[in-house]
Amino acid sequence: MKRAFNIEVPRQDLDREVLAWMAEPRWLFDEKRFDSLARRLFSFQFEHCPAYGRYCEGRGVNPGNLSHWTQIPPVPTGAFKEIELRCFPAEQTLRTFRTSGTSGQKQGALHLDTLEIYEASLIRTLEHLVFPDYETHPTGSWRLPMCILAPTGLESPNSSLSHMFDQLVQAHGSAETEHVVRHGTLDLKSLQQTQNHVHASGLPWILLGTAFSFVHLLEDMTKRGEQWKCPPGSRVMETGGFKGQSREIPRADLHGWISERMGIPLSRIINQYGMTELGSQFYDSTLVDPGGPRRKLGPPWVRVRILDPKTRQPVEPGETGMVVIHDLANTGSVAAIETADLGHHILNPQGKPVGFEILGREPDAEKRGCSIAADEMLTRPRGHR
Amino acid sequence: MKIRWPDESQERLTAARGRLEVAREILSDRGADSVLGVLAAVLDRWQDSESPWRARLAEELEAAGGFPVALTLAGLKLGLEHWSGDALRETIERERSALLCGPGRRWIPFSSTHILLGGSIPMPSLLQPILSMACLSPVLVKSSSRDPVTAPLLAESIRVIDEEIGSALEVVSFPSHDEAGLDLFLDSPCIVASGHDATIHSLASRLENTTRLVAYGHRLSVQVVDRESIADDVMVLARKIALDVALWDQQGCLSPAALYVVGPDASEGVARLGQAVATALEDLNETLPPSEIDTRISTQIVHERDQAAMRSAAGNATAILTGPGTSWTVVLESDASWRPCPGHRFLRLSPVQESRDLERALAPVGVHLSSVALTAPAPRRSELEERLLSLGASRICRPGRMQAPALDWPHDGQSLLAPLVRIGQQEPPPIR
Repeated sequence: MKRAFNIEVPRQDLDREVLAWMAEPRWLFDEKRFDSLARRLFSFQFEHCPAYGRYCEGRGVNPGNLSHWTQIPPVPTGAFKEIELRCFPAEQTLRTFRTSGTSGQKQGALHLDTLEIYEASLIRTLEHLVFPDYETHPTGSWRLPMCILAPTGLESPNSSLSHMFDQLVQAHGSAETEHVVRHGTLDLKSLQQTQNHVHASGLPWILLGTAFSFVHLLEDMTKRGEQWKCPPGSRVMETGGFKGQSREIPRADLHGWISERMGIPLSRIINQYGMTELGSQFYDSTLVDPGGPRRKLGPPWVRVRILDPKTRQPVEPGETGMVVIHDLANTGSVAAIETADLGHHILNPQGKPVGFEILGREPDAEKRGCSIAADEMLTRPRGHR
Repeated sequence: MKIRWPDESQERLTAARGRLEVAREILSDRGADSVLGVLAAVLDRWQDSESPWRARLAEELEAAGGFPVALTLAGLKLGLEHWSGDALRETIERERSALLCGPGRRWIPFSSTHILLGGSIPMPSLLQPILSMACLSPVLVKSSSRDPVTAPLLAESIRVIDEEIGSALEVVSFPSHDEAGLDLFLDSPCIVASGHDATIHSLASRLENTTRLVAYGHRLSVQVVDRESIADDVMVLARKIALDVALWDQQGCLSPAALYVVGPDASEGVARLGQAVATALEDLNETLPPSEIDTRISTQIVHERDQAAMRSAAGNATAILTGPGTSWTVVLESDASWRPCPGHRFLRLSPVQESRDLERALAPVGVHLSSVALTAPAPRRSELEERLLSLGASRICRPGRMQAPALDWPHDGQSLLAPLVRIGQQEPPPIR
């Protein structure tokens, strides 16, 4: 039974505050600000998402006894497959993004009544972590040629990844930008033409897509003995895993393969860690901190905790545990998310966490992740390198 | 200057293959009956409850990070109950007769059989090399990283009885990332492999078209209990179910990944049986303590428990019963949707109102179905058996016996020996 607490927290105020944080040019990891926003957001979600409220009551946590954001109970990602976790009436749903389940599997769903925060979060994070060298561009209206190894949002309306790429293209893609996965096929011929054109221009080329799409492309390049020398400043962003595929390629091997075939330095090849259930994403650190250890970084309105699953308490610094994410961009659903992923914090020489690393997803878990959906759409026969 | 250091594991592999070529001649010279006699004697020694081999396996497996001693001994006791030398002889002779049924048929052993073991349970590691050797094929085994003990012990136990025949079983190990080692290992006319479907698929793509691949992919088992069978003596049934769950810590394909109560008032049956299974699992915590589990597994267990708690908070009649820490979990579900099972003594009980609904419930896993432990009164039993077999089950057994398949059980629905040999046919000469 869920109790009423009569703590009225207007959603518009929360949205406004989160958007204001996202709009700030400098990223400030302000703990007090995060705690205050997170606790008020919890009060709102406790009241307006009844299932979540009862779940928290079951854990003995409510807005009346919460003293710090770290006490907020996280919802397991799997719950998004079975329960509609939203803090607004269903008829106000503007957009629903779904996880990439295979046939017969339930798909997780993130329901949104506004795209404003979602889009602000993804664009600001991409700009800061993937395009740090353009952040101080005098006009702020820079555009670059991009190659998207994923379908458009029009073709794949439930894919949060396609939506993210669409937003990036709209904000910063130049006229040469192209989506090369169309109707389930990776259009290698078109990609080749774009590549010739872009390379002749000498402009940096941005390739973004799912890890397995890159594998398909690299297999084709390797078969044909093709090797590019992408212009300086070019970069690659890949995302998703290989679970359930005929084979897996360790991330470092994939990056090495991309670097070797495309002529892009390893520090400019980065992985994104994200999930449909989250409004924000994380990226490898190497574009913002090329000299430091490769680790995942996220924006200041997100916190990552590594917990001992048995005690639900933080593990010792650097130890492996369950990844729990608190994302203030999730104002309309639930902000605290318990993933089934394992990870550990990366520490600086003083022993302070400066990012984290994902140690892989559970092999027996149901297939999920953006990469799988894209691979199912690709019709090329698979071989091995 | 580049120095090429000799690769130790590849050298060991090459040497083992060389020794097996000699052993092949030995097996051929000794003949089928003699080899079978030795293998039957080996199995008899393992079957003996006082067998020093069992004790060594239990101790060494625990030392290697595997199951606790008590759990291994309990698993071996049940698993080897009917795996006698006589059972082996009967099985081989029956299968051989069936295969050679027809004029001019001959049994041709593969020049070598290479077995890639997966998983952590010793039972397949004991039986698979014996079957291949009974077909007169020398065997090279790559142990599983999670059970590096059973195959070498089996080899030792054969050599103790017959040094010559024991030389036809070689055990190697090399890291999973050793691609060259794997390619060398896969160079054989017959490969037996068990593991995840993705692993099998990947292996198949590396083999020559002429190589025989005997694959045992991902399988799982379930319990089905007719509502009427949940009577006053529910604890008797619950203890058997709990044993099936606890043995080998639910790590094998014969462990139940879910339980379905079938019939009217199935939800009531789920509640009653679930409570009893929870009590029985708690008791087993004392007598058969579970293995230590790592963060990866405990994360999965906690994740599944939390998901069940969320379903309950959302208004579903879901209940969660748990032991200390992550030692065991019983989830009483309100519907029969298929949900992941992280193993390590994690059982979901789901209600199914009618037996035909069972087909719908099991449809997502039907192709992976292995064994079903069925509890049902006689009139309903045959109908349920029929449904389960047509769904894909290759074995129907009683609760408490899931980890004790007969030696001649057609594993994954395959004949035991047919995939391990070639059958030739010699047509009669023309009549003059």
